[in-house]
Amino acid sequence: MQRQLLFPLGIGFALVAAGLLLLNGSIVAAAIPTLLFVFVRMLSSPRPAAADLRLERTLGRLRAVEGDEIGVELTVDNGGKGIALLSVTDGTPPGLARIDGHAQFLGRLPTDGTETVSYVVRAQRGLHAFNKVKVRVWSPWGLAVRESRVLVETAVKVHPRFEVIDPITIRPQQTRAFAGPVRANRGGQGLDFFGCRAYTPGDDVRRINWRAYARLDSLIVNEYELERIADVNIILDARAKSHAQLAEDTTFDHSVRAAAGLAAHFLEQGNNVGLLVYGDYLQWVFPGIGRLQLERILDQLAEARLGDKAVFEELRFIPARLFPARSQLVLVSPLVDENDIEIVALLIDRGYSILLVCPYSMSVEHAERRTADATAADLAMRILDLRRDLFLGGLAGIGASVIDWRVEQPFRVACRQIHHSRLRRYRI
Amino acid sequence: MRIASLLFFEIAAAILAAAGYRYGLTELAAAGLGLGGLAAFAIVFFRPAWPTAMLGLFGVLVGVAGLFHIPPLFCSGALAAALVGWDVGRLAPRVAGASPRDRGRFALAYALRAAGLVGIGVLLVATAGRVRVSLTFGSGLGLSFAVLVLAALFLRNLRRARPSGRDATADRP
Repeated sequence: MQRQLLFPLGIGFALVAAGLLLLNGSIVAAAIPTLLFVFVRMLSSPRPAAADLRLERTLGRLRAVEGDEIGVELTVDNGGKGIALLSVTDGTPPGLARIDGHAQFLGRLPTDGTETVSYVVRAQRGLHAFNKVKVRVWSPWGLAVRESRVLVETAVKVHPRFEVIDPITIRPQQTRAFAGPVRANRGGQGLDFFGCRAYTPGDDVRRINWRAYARLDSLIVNEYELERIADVNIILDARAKSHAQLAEDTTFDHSVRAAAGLAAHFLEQGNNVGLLVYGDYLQWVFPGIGRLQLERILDQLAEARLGDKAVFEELRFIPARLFPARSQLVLVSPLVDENDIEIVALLIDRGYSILLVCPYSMSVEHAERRTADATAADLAMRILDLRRDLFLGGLAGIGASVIDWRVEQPFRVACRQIHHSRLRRYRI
Repeated sequence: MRIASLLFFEIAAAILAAAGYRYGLTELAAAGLGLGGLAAFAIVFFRPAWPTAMLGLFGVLVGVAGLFHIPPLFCSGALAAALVGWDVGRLAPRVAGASPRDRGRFALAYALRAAGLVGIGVLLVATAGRVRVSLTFGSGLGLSFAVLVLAALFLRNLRRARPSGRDATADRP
């Protein structure tokens, strides 16, 4: 019996009781259709839903980039008797917004009949597992319904969309043994001049500096700066308190895209890249190289969520021992307060080279929430900008490279600014 | 589905209003019309609980109409129409994901079946006043047994009642 029928049943009994108490036949008679309706509905029972139904869901793709459109097809195949009234509703996960088609079939399904539910969804970042399919079968006269939920396991992984960025210069104190794009601060084979030293047997004759030999009367060879691959670990700040909600997304979404772009860039250069998502819990992708590593990082970023755990409230619990000594760290964080600067200073003090990517959304929020008193809002915005300049200046002062990224502009533009102006201004 | 639900609620309101005017109970007629207006208002700003609330209000109004000795055919007809409106309206959220064409066909088929069922009840009421059955001891005893069996069946179904939405085994290809 369906629980919803208890309400009209209650009305029917109430009318009967009232009619009997008041000795009023009209009231008793009024309850007859209601009670008949309820009794017949209760006594009729449809066959078990989905017993003879075969359900198969097909996705246009199993991996996508956020914003992509994915076609979904749910095929319902009836292997048993015909069903007069059938409803099949696909369980679209919340992260997939339906933009075309309908996710429900409603109608008749004859014996050995097949129906297809087709619709298109727009994907948001994340791992989206489809919910169970709701199947409702009505009895032949539509008097009773039986509902069941059938699990058809399907999932789609949606990676963050990222921009291809121009080369970023990093200078970690320690590099790895293999040739790569990062200058190793050591003499050897390379392109950029590094220094001179006395000739030793076995040195390439073409590297002898003949002018120095003429001046000093001893053989001197030129040395070039070694270029190696580096360990680059990207730390994504996923603390809820660090991020702001914008009109369509959050600064965290922007941060995730930036982290993905940086990971792709450093892996493309041949570096050994790892990822730590610091927020809800520690999600750690062990450093590696190549396209497979990029897939691992993007998978992790797809599932990254904001967290508000008290234990991760401050950056001081970043597990620095996970990272190779004196390697390059890339911290993607809006950096909320002075404590964060202190942590960055501590990491630099331990020998890590820090590249900070600071998404800044205040100008977007200012444009969105501008009050009637525009002058005061503009003044407040100016004060906030000055404070931020001071804040980033402090970070530069302790030796961090900074990408000051206003989220309304493309990330690749912000990355260019570090190369040409900000890097010179901030680098010690 | 909402439109079909509204249609049946309005039929119920019209029956009550007509009965009120016919038997000189203008208050009842006004209440019927008011309830019809409220139903239209409720359906426009649809919430899943509205059909249930409307059915409850109609139940109360039908009880009041019975108190004023409105003939049973009017009372049962009004409540039956409201019942179909409730039943159809209750389904609206469940079929919201289907295409409008499917929804329209389904609403028509479902409403006709529900209306047919309650229509039988109204017919019973209509004929009950005209049929005279002389009960003997044997037929009375048989009727009592029949009622007992029906009650037992009802209790059995009531005890079996389980929430819908139980998981079924997936027929995975």
